[in-house]
Amino acid sequence: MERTNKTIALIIKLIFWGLLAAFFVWAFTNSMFSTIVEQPDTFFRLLGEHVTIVLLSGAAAVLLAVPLGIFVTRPKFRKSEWLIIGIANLGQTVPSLAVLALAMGFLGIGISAAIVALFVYSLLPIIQNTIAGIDSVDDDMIDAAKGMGLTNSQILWKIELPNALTSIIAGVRTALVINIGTAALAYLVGAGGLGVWIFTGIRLFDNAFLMSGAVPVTLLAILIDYLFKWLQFALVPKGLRLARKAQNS
Amino acid sequence: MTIPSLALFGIMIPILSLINEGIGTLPAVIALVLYSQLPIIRNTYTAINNVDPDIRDAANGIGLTTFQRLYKVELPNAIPLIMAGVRTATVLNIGVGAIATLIGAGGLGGIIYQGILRNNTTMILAGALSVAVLALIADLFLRLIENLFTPKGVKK
Amino acid sequence: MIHFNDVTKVYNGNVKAIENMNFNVEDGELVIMLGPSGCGKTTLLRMVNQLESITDGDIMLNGKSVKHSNKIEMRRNIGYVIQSNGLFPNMNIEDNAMIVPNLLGWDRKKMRDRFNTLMELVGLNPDQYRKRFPHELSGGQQQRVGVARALAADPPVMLMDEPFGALDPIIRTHLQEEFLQIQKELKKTILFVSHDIDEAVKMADKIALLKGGQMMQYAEPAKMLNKPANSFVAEFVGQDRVLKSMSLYTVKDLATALTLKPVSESLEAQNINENLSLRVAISKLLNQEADQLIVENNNGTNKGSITLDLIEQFLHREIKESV
Ligand SMILES: Nc1ncnc2c1ncn2[C@@H]1O[C@H](COP(=O)(O)OP(=O)(O)O)[C@@H](O)[C@H]1O
Ligand SMILES: [Mg+2]
Repeated sequence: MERTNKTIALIIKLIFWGLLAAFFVWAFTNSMFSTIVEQPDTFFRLLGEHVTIVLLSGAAAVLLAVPLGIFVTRPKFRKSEWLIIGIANLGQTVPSLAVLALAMGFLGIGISAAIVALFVYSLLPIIQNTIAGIDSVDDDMIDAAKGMGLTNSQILWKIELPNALTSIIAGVRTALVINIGTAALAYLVGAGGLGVWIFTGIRLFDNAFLMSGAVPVTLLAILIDYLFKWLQFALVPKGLRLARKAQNS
Repeated sequence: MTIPSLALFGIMIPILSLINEGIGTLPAVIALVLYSQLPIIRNTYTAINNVDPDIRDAANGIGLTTFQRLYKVELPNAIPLIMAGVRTATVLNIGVGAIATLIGAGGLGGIIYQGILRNNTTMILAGALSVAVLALIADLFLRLIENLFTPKGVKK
Repeated sequence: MIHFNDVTKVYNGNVKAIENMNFNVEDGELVIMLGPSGCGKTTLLRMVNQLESITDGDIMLNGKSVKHSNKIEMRRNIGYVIQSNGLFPNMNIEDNAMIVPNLLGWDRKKMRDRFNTLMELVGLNPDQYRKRFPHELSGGQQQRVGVARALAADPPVMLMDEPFGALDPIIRTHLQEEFLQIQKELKKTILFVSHDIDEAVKMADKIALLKGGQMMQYAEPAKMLNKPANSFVAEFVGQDRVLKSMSLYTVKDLATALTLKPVSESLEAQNINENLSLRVAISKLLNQEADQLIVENNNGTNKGSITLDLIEQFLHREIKESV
């Protein structure tokens, strides 16, 4: 059972990497990335815009969403928790394209509309995960902490936040990955980014433009995803990783 | 899931244009199918994996075959989580579907796109609302189905 | 040390969990609160360190009302152990055990010494476990750390809510005995929740038996076994209550209360130390190993002999006397 599972996983992996290699060989032989080679300056400018939009909106979202998540999980404000979770769930049904478009409606064309839209859109997963992380902290643990005379802020800093960290980082990771994709739409509100080439490609039926925009966006998303996986490993206390493992086995 | 939707469209267009289907519904459908796989497969796997080992043991103990065990014990217990995966995939897809309009696949996203082109906030709002409402209705509908198929004892 | 004055607890305006509770826990006593599930033991315990508010009445700790004490400061002077140990998975064993001293601002050296002492006390090797995490320990070891953590700042009072309840019987017995040894040395004032009569009989100086938020009986274990206050108590402690009580008396208790018989030449004899329990004595006699037991003190001096008749006589006396 265990062996067959491993074999199947290996075969799937091999097929996947094979297809990926085939794709890149095909793309290179048809000089699909010629746009990058021909216009490196433009490429780096677009990449810079893309990354700026993602990082600024993401950082602002973390700064607001994490404290908000902490705030609604305080005993006094617990009653407002369902409201925030409800809004977060509802908000996620609104398509990212619409959020961008609405931001443009208020702020006009330009990079600030894109940053605001992505900021609003990334609040949701971060708040959700912050709340879920804090809620998942074992009640008995909090009880023990209170019983030993920890103040509320000591419980927050020493117990709740370290134990919720995995979940919070996962929220930031989701938000940033979504952001990288949504930032590709920023072209529509005149904010630049790698989306410029993708849309040019679509409009001109030019595969070189398409690929030179789409592949870097994808790689960027995968890179950020891995970076945060690593961060999760580096930042989360060892004891918690062990706890998780014990729970899953 | 990590692959941004527009980028996935962008990568698929050149590949599909090999068979002259570059722009239009086909890349959209393929992308949506791909996107749905991850949440559904992941949840289904977790759900069946998480069925209480004691229950599985008892099922084996009373002589159920592997197939009977899956059909009578594991799946009924796993329904809530499997359906949660289906719901996530659906809501996600309705959002991504709105972007599909940009590669000429039509759909409600078109209203939003037209709104952007004409700088018409009302149109954007109308488009956004219809997509959101569609997602909510789909979610509600799937919850109903879930409710119908979840055995009473498994509900909490 | 702890005085319960007419304490009443009502949850959500209608669930009466504790009703007009009155009793005192003296300095250095280990009092076990016993009773069926839902009778209010945990509630009563948690009102002492104010994890639950008191609806009516008051609890005095060292002459000071807990209602009007500074909660945080008070709790740091009360050890608290719960069933599911409540160790923090993000901290290693040393940080877990030393959390209160850490909050109190002890210096590094003092904390390290304290950690070493405590771990030795609860039977764990300090250097072996210092850097480990809770999930790398067995349930019994985790609970030992839980006890060490509660003792860390040397609080005069300990509250323990079914501390050994989640452990398997062999480990539980082991920890109970070790804890009794620790308590002999430290003489803390302990309020301890249990639903296990055997645990209570074995460990308690006094047992508080609760039912539906009311005190059924508050007495020494032997008294509760031999002279239950009502039929609920009698049923709860079990029909074999008199046998249970045997482990609470030593041969010496009998020797003090009654005159021992002279050693008879015609009966089979064995020796017994006067500090052993009557339970051991009776078991030896029933075993057919001997028909009389020659009582000796620690120096081996012969003080006379006991027989089954004499033990029976002693029990009757106890049952009548303990009122
Ligand atoms: N937080 C609470 N809210 C409402 N009722 C409670 C709460 N905690 C305990 N109770 C009720 O109070 C009674 C006593 O509970 P508890 O002290 O936990 O009993 P025990 O520890 O003896 O099992 C029970 O009827 C229980 O349902
Ligand atoms: Mg209890």
